[in-house]
Amino acid sequence: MKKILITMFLFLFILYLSFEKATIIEAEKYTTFEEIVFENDYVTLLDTWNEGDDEYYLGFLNKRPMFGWDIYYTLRKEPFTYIAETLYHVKNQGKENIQHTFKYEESYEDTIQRSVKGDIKVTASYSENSKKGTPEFKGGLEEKLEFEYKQSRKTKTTEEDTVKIVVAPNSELFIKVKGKGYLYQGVAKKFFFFVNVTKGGFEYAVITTEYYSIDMVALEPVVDDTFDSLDDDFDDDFDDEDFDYEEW
Amino acid sequence: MKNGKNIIIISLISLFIIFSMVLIYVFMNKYDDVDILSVRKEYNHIFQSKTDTLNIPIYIGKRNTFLSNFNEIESTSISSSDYTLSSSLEAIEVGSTLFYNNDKYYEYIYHLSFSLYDDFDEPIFLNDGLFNITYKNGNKLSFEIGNLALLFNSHIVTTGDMIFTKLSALTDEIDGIETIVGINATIRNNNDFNIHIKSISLGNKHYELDYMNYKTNTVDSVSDLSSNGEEYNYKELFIDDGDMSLIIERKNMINLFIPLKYTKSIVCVERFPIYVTYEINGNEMTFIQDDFQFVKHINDLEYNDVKKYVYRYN
Repeated sequence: MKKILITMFLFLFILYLSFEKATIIEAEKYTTFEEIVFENDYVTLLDTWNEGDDEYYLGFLNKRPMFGWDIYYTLRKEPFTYIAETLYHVKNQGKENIQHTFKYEESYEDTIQRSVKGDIKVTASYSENSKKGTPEFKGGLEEKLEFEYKQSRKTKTTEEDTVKIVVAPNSELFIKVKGKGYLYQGVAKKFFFFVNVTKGGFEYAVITTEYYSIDMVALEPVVDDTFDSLDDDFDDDFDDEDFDYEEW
Repeated sequence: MKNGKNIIIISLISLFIIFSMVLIYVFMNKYDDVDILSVRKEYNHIFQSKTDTLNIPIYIGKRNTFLSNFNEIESTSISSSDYTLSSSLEAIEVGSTLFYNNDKYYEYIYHLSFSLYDDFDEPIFLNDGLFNITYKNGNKLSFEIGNLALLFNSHIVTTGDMIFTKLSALTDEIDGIETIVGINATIRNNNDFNIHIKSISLGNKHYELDYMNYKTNTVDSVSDLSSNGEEYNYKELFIDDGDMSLIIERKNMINLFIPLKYTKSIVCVERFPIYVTYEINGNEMTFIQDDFQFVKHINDLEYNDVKKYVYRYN
């Protein structure tokens, strides 16, 4: 009888693992923002946790459900502002103004972006017509989290929305994006027949607003390298960083 | 043998009942009421060609109804008490799935183009605008979409005299609404003559750049607007017919902050064109910066006035 039960358990366990197939993806874009500033000083991103932090927070989980997740939030709805990478960049090396048509595209794929630590994974499920999958926390964690974000989740659309901008001669145009959002962070354990099968940290950022700006700067003057050999003599006298190329 | 016959009869009856229930469920579901949401927004756009579209989001509580089926739509238009502008529906883009008051909605973005873009020098202002759809089945639906200031002109050319080298918005929360309260701009004079700027406007009747109260430096924080610790007044717009009296010397540039003030209620403004009237070498000219998206709130349903409609099948 005992053997039958063990065999059944193993069979179910293998069956359970076979259902967990999906493409595992790396951390999402918010972790690569040029700058991210939290309103509260104590907030740090999951990938900056010290060794042992996750074990410390996992210690707050003391339930042992038969199936499913036990979750502990270390941070909830922490406001942040960010500077994203430049959305658009074009150079005008000519001598006349050029009118450039800039096509708006959201800088995000999904307003909810995730990171994980430990055994927890983010996967992307792909539909037939979509090359880009919809990322989700693996193993049913997505549904278990308190997703206030359901109210504001939005995936990228392909709006045919354009704006015409004049680019001055010998200059480059940058369309920059700043924004704001909220961060949620925590640890979770998953149980299967009272056995802990997955544990780790999770984090998700919710982007709520984007701010666009035009920034046009003069192109750096072309350096004539004919006299390269002489440059060394002048290096001590002229510090290139003191020269402000942005001054018109 | 009799037992076997009974099992077959019971199985057939069960199958019939299940099949009927499924049919009833499908039929009932298909012809249930459909909840629809529209959003009252501020649309400030310039249309220079037929490829410029006005994109209107409508949120529908069910997928795959005739309401969002391109082939079921006979015609579309936008209107107000003063104007009706017929439009061509170019596409219906399927957007995100969103929640509003815990109910799920599917976003459909209707892309409209217009064919009357040569006729106007000033924006047409549609106060309390409606988006009207006529379906091939005879249904006519109208949705409130807010206020629209639309300029149709295919002949906008860049004079080359001036250029915005920096442009961004300052935002603040007023009466619980996060909106634009001013713009920071750096204007460069490309010409060999001085430019006398006479006015800077965004062409809207409900809010306007208060160009008489410009500052000759950019403002990075809302707190910099307050004087003596008093709250800055965003609501008292002083529109003057006088000149701005701002001179940008030849081959020079100037940093500006121009407050945006509201004549009626506070609304969430995200995008607008900028009209600069100036005088150069005795000639009065206008420079138009195409409508720039300064701010984008990701979920319109959270930041704007939402109108709910219920469509009932006859």
